[in-house]
Parts: sequence; structure tokens; C-alpha cells
Amino acid sequence: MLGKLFKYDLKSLGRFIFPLYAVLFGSAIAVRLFLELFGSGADSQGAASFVYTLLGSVIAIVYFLSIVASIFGVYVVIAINYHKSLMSDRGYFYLTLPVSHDMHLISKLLAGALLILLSAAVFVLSFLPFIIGNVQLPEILDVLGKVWETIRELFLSKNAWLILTLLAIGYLFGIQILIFFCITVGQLIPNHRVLGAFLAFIAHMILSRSISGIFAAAGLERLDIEIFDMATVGEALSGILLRSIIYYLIIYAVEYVITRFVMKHKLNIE
Amino acid sequence: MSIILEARDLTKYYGRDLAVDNLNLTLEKGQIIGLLGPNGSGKTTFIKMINGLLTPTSGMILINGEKPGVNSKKVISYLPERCALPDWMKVKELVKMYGDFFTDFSYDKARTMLSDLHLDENKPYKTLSKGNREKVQLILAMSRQAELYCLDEPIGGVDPAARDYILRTILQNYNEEAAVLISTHLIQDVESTLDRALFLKEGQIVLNDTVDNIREQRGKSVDALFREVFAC
Repeated sequence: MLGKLFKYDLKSLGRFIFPLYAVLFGSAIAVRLFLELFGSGADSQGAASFVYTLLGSVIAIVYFLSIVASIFGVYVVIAINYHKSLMSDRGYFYLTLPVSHDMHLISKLLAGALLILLSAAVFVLSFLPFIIGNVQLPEILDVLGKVWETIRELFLSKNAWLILTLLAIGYLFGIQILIFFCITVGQLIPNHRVLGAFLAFIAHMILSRSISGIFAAAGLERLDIEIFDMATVGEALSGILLRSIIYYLIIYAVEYVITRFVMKHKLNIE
Repeated sequence: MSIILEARDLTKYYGRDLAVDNLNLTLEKGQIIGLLGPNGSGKTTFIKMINGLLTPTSGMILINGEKPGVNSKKVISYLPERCALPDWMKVKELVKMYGDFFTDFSYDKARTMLSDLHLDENKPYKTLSKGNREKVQLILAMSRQAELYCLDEPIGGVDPAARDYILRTILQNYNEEAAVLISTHLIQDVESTLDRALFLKEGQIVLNDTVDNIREQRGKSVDALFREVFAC
């Protein structure tokens, strides 16, 4: 059943997101073509210059907006899909399917995670039209290698793979669980469901920020300022980062349990 | 006949408003039951609790001896009073989806009914009229071989010609191993179909009797009795 739910969740999410990817690639190619064909347009005068500027601006704006939409829009689509499927009209169908609440949640999390991953990949790939022909692959790999080295030295000097794995889990599932938690808790306040969701979000922010702040302060306090070298700083920051990620993952796990509990025992769909 | 549904001291509040009040009831298989009552009498709330869409404030509801859950959802075919299907799908995709999730779903039955009611499987659901959307939803619900059919206002939004077809379909699906619970205001239309009538008033059962008894002992039709009990 999980496979079937996943299939329909992916279809439901994909019908908004996949066209967005097409717009992103299309506009990236259009920007590159514009630069290739009309790059010298800046030298032209009067009406021609105005047309070049206008056309270039429109294409660039579309490209920029589609980048923003594909990165952040995926979360909006995930939130709308969750609300419509389980907390609104469509809940009358989906919640009467012979599957457990866990299966609904896991299916939605997996479908959402796949699209978050795809969005990140599509974002990176959308730079291809600009790179091809202008920059050589070894140069890119060299820059990426240097960036990675700096990050590794500063934040990942210890437990690098553990931190990266936990970060990936948090990135793919954490925000989704937070979205599900807020919407589900919000429906506990009849007639004020949006306000309820907003209050749940505020509660999450206050709790998570205050305790992660305490973690960070405690970590920095242990840092010996007298021996202030990169290795010591890197080690301290790695520790703070690892503790913060674990702390956030615990919060997301608790929010998943609360979401599941409300769905199972306090469900009151509109 | 075996019991398919049992409600024990079932109560539901919405805030301070009482929707279902200490309801005790058993339903047996092999019957078509009319759940009848005016607006706000608690019919939809009761049906939503049967389907696990609402949590009772107190008391319990059992389907085949179990609380609403995965097992009860396997044996209940539910028709909500609103359009609940994903409207971006085509009708044939909805048929496929029902078949994917419900092992007791009959593709042949669904296609026959769609054809009889002249509904095009290739049309997107959202392009259908409200009445046709309700027909599709009802067809999908009635194409299952369920043990309990919960039909909330199944004929409210459809034309009189389709109503006759739908009621005939309900009768055809009826068997000794299934119960059909129909919530409706259109008592005259369904009266000839019903075996039993439940009158719900302010969340309480005020009448639970067979249609034959109502006619023989009270000398009235269910519709006439309803108008008498719920007179304004």
C-alpha cells in the first residue's frame, strides 16, 4: 500500500513542480541564448536598446522567479497537498483508505523528500546553460574542491560524514514534518485552523531557537580563546553543529509523534 | 443476522455544541437502513465517526467488533456528502485508483454503471457538472463488495432519472452479507428501498423500527411519520 500511496502523492505534487522545472530550464536556456545573440545589444541606441533591455530583464526575472519557486515553492506545494489530502475535502477519501496514519505520513514524507532532492538537483543543473562553453569542468571541480575544503575545515573537522548524513535527513524530512505538525495541530482549533497552525509554528520557533542558542553558547564557552587556531575552532564548531542537528532531529521526531497522535485520536476534519 | 455496527453511549461535542447525544445502536447485515433527520440532527457527524473522520468525545463505535481503523476501512464503502476525489484526475484514473486501494472493487461494475449513466471515462473529474461528479463518486462507492455502505446524501444532487437508477443499483448490490446506511432528506424517493428507518433528532435516536412495522402498526408511510415527528 505504501508504494501505491507514494505513487499518487508523487503525482499530486509533481503536477505543480515538474512544469516549474521546465520553466526554470527554459528560462536558463533563454538567458544564455539572449546573451549569445544580443550580448552586443548594449551598444545599440534608442528603441533597439530599450527592447534589448526590456527583453533581457523579463527573461532574467522569469529565471530568477523560477529559481526561487523551485527551491521554496516545493514546500508550499507540500503544505497545500498535505492540507488538501488529509485535512480538507480530499481527506474524506484518503482517510477512508485502508491504510494506517503512519503510512499516509511516511508516503507524503518520501514523495516530498524526492521532490526536495530533485529541486536541489534541478537548481544546480539550471546553471549548465551558462557554464557550457564558458567554463571547463576541471575548473568547476577545482572551485568546488576548495569550497568543500573550507567547509570541512571550519565545520566538519570531526564526524564529517555523520554530520552530513544527519544534515541530509533534517533537510529532506525535517521541514516537511514541521509543516505537517503545524497544519495538524492547527485543526485542533475549530474555525481558526490557520491561526492554530501559525501558533504551532511560533511555539516550534521559540522552543527550537532558545534551546539551540543554549547549546551554541555552551559550546562556545568551552572553546579556549587562548589557543585560537583553525583546528581548534573547527573542532568546536563541528561539535556545536552536531549537537544542534541532533537536537533539531529530536524536535522533529517529537513533532512527528504529536502529528500522528492528533491524526489518530483527535482528528476532526472540516 | 450478524451485527456489523454497534454504537455505545456515543457522544460528540463541537466545542459546546452537542451533535450526537449518548447514542446506542446496533445495525445488522442484510438491511437497507435510512438514517433520517432534519438538518443539524447529527446524521453526518454519526457517519463521519463510523468512518474514523471524527473522534467521539465519549463512548465508542465498533465495526465488526473493532474500533474504526484499517480493518474497518477495508469493509466500509463510504460516500461523503461532498466531492472528495482528487479533481485533477480523469474519471478512468479515479477508477484505477479505487481498484488500486480496494481489493473488493469491481472494474466491470464501475464501467457498466459509468456507461449506463453516459459518463465519459476520459473526461477530467473537475470538468464534470456537480451532479455528474456525485454520480461518479457514488458509482465508485457502489462498485465495491463492502460489508457496510455508508451513503451520505447519495441522491441529493442528482436528477430524478438518475435517482431511480442509483436506487436500483443500491438494491442490486444489497445482499445478506452487507448493510446499507443511507442518510437523506428525500424520504419519498428512498422509502420503497428501505428495510429500516432511524430517526435522528438533536443527536438522539427517536425512532428505530422496520418500515413494515411503521406502515402496519402506525398506519403511516415513513415520509408522513417523519413530517409528524419533525413538524416545525
